[in-house]
Amino acid sequence: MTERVVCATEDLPPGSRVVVSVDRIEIGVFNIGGELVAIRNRCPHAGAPMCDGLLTGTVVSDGPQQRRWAHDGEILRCPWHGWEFKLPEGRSLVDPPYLLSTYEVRVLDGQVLVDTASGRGTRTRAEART
Amino acid sequence: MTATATTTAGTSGPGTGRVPVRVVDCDIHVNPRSATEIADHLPSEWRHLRDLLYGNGMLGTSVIFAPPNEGRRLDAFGDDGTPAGSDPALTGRQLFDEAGVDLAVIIPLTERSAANPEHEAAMAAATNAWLADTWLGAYNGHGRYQGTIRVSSDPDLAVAEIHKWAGHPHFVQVMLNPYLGTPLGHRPFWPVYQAAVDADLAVCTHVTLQRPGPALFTSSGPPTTFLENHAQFSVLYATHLVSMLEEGVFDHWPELRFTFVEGGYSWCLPLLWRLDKYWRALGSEVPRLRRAPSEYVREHVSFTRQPVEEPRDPRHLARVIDWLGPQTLEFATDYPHWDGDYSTRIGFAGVPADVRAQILGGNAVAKYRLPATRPAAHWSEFGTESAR
Repeated sequence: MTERVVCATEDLPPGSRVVVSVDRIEIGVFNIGGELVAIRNRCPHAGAPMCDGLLTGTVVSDGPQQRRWAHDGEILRCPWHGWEFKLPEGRSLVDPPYLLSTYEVRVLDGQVLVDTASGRGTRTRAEART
Repeated sequence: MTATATTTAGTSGPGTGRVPVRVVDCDIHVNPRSATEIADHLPSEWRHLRDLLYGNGMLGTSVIFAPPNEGRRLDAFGDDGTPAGSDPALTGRQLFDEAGVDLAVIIPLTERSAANPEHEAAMAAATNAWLADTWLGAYNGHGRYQGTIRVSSDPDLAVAEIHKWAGHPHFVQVMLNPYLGTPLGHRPFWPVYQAAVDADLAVCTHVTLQRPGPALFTSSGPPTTFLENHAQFSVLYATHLVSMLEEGVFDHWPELRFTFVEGGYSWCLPLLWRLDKYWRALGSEVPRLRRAPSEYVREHVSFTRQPVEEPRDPRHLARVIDWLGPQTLEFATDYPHWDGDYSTRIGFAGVPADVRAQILGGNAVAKYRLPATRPAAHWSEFGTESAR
């Protein structure tokens, strides 16, 4: 089994995040309104520490000269270049081949567990472009 | 990886060994920790306006300046909220340790565009005095920071400021604001080039925070978004480059070294193909030009690479570098800005090792007359005054 304890559930209330290092790979777990999302702490564009980014919303358009605020609290914005990824799936909104690496996460006996072998999604810029 | 800025009091101090300079960062932006730190360098007759320019708000700046994360990488702000690029310890860690930079050229943006060139000159003077005291002085025991002299858009005032700092051991270039309303090849700017050449300083231009109005215009009118504005820095630079070429600036000063900072470079090649073609047909209109425009560019002009262009196949950049000439490119991070290149590894797919070394450091060492080595001891051992 490759599950690791990240923290106690009480240490990860809604709106918070925890970053841990497992075998030199940093994984961040976010509590988004009760839903847990685990991602690798690395932007697929240029390697920035994604977990330093702001969890926010974004502006979308339904037609010419229309814009509205959307996905409030679900958009993780890269702390360096501002790329926007929608959680929980971790996909880039403007360039969907770019995908955050995500991990399976669950709660057991008051502990938050991440399966460190479950990482999936884009790991490098090259992979996003093939 | 973690480094602290504590001094090595009670020990023998940093060693005197030196290592080769491999990476020169040609564009970083440091900041004062507070408005007072720099405003105190303003002469009293301008100090009453300091809140306008150095207050917390962004007065005088168009809302078109809308980059993510306040225009900075978020991990460059201090834990206590200190401005990005204002703490020598955090900057040293992120720039020297993490990005692997050996020497960095500071282009301070604390002189902001002002309608009044005398006001601009006062801000330039305050900026230069502050930089000399801090990042080129108290924080620079290791000598890894080099600086850029900021000047007014008024050429006479610019020349006076250059004369003031000529001979300073760490000022290596002069920056001209690109939002002048006049192409940079025009005669009024020639005394600035003369002063720079006399002082053996390079000259650059760098986009700045812009006020609303004519400064934001493209050649066809005003943009409406920051994306539109940002992507067209290249177009702005193209007009200046063509002006400098055809007015004969580089023919007049064979020693002049000029850099276009942060405006890309791939755009230049097709422009040079066109210029060379029409120079052959229309050379009598510019009889002072004795060589093809592209030859002047390859001898006198360089471009900082950041923000690195990202073609779908990254190997295409290698072809552009080969065509344009590897001597025309210099590495830069733009630390601590949001659109920085914080790795020396990206953008070099298919580029030969010797060319990569040239772009990362060799070109800049030659152009800015930088030392070929730097102290081997860690930067934090030089008694860098801590941010707190």
